[in-house]
Amino acid sequence: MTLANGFKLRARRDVGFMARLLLLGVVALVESACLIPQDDDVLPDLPPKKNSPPRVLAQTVQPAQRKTSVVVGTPSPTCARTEFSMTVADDDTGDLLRSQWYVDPRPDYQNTATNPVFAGAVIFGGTSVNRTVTAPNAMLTFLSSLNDGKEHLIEAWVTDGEFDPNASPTQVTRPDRTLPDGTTVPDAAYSDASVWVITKVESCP
Amino acid sequence: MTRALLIASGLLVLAGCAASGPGVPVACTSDAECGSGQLCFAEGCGDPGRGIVVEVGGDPVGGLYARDVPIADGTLGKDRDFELGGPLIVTGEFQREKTGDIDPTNRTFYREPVVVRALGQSELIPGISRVFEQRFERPERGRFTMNVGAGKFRLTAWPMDPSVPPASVEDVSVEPGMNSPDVIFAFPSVEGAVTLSGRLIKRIDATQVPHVEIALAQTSMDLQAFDPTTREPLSQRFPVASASGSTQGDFTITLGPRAKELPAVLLVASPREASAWAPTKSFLVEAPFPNAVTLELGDFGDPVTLVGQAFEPSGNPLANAQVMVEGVVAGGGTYRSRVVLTDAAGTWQLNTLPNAPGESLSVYVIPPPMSEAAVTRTPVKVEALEPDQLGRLLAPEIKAQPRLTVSGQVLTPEGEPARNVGVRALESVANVASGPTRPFPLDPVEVVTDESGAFTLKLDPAAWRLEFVSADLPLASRLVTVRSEVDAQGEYVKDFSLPVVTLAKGRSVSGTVRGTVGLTAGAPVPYSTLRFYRVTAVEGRASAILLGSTVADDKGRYSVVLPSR
Repeated sequence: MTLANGFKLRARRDVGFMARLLLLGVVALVESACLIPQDDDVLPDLPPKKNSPPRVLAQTVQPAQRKTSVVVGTPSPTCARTEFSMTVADDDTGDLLRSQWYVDPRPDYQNTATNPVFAGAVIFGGTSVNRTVTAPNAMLTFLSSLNDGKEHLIEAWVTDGEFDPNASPTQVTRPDRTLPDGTTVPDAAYSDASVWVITKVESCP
Repeated sequence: MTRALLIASGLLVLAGCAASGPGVPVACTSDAECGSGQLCFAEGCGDPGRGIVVEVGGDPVGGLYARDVPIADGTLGKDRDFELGGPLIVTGEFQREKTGDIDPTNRTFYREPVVVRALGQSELIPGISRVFEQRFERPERGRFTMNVGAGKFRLTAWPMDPSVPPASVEDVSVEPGMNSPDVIFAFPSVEGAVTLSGRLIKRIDATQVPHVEIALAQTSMDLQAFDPTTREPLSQRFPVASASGSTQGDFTITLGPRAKELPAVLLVASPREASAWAPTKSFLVEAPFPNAVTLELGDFGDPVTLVGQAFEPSGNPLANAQVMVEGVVAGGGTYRSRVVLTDAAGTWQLNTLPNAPGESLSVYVIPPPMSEAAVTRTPVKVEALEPDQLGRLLAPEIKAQPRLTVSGQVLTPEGEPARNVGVRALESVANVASGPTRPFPLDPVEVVTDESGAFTLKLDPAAWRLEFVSADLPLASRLVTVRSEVDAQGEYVKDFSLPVVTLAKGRSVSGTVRGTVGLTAGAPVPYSTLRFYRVTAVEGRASAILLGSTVADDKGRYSVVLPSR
């Protein structure tokens, strides 16, 4: 009994020891997996997001009628001139937005005396994805010259880059983007447009 | 330099300098000068949480136009939803008198095409104009329903038939929660209208016996009648017969019955096309109106081709500038030329009428936005060419005045340089209220602050509102009046420094704009425009200061940063 008991007792102790040893081994193995030496190279930061294009929201364009008469001249209590505006969505809220306004644009969009191009105000970035772009006063002044009974075309282009004064408003550019490692990559700029046909120009009395 | 700075500080008038007394903002150049809980705004110190009114513009396609939402003082938290409800409408009826009398019980429906134009002002936000226009092709039983924004409006109905005079209704108030007003436009019958006939001629040749009327040649003219006091139109634009023959220059113009009550009407003759070489001239025709009236434009002369060259203040050619000529011509009419652009050499050429004897015309040169040159008005003598003179008249060279340099620095609320802050200069409304000195408004000018928070703007002499736009801080603004002055040495004072602008701390307000979209009540209104104003009195006059603006997303959600203390 004693021997047997003692044997049994020892046997139980040996089983417990082995189990503990096995557990230790398993733990050591598991732990060792976490202790595999890592490469010293730090993973690079995520590359900057690609530029998102600005989009003219068609339902926000004013005048809403794309074929419209306009009122020009100095606003007064009895006369409000027509304002041209549109909301532009750009997911890059920090981007500057620029607009160019073309009156009767030539096929090559060159700025001439009868096909002038007017730069709109720069729209600064903010917290909102959507921003409002309005026509420059200089263009509204010029429209008073179009009171000739003919139809005229106005094209408003907006970009998150810069326009080339000697090229089509689709050919817009942005400075190269600098990556965290100091290298630069080209960054595409985009443009979008809205168009009106002016049927009649009235002047504030 | 010290003298220049002294002059500059004298010239830069920060708004509110003269304001004092209860309820009137105190002059300020920074928040530190304001009392507890107040910030320095363009118009003076004020509590950013009081007197807030929000202009919420909805979905134009769905007819949800701008309305004003007043916010009770101290209740604008970080979450704020706006419920626009349904479109605001004006309903009404087009009617026509059956007889020559004004008799509301004896009218018929007017079912012909009509354009209605609503021109008004917000009743809660001073200085906000709103205009709406809608055309009704065949109004059934003369009824119409028109979507508008909130405000007090003057509505004018213009029948497409020019022989029917326009009809106006004043002081139509439209506000959310109010019953839509029912507006009756009563057009006069043919017998009820006032008819004025006559002939528009160039001049009467008194050297011949009997006197001979000299007709206008090759020019299409229009005539329109106005109330001389209110400038309210009494008629539509009527064409003057232009075909050569015995009827050349004849006109018959139909005025509304209100003309019968006036001691005189103003007839304005103007060329139909901007390129026409004829002046615009006003004629006062006193009651009782004659059966036939002769309107004499005067011997305004033959067109002259005016050629000139414009230069930057530095002496370089001024390219891409707009040039126009206007002024009084012989006969007492006024002429405004087409707008032309200068070429790379600064050269421009346009056609104009000669000035009246002893007068001169004004040549306006409007440089492009980034130019060093300011808008320049130059009087130019444009004498009539002798019959044997051919060719063009050379205008004197125009050297544009310099734009003035306004510089300053923007700091964060912590006093650090504020980089990449947008600085936008807008011609101030106050300048317009005091009467325009130019026949056109100036365009905004924008720059971005550099690493040290500094900025430099090139501005024309005018009253300007400077807005400081940051991505994560609230909008700040200042008023600046820039005047062109000459110092003791006879040199233009060109450089001005502004006091440092410290941006206020911001608080974010966000929420959702909802309204009745189609048939769905309480639906999000996409792309709503929200402008938060602080409405206050400045020097006894109600004034609205823009605190911040934003545009909601496609789900109607918005977020804006407003100033806080």
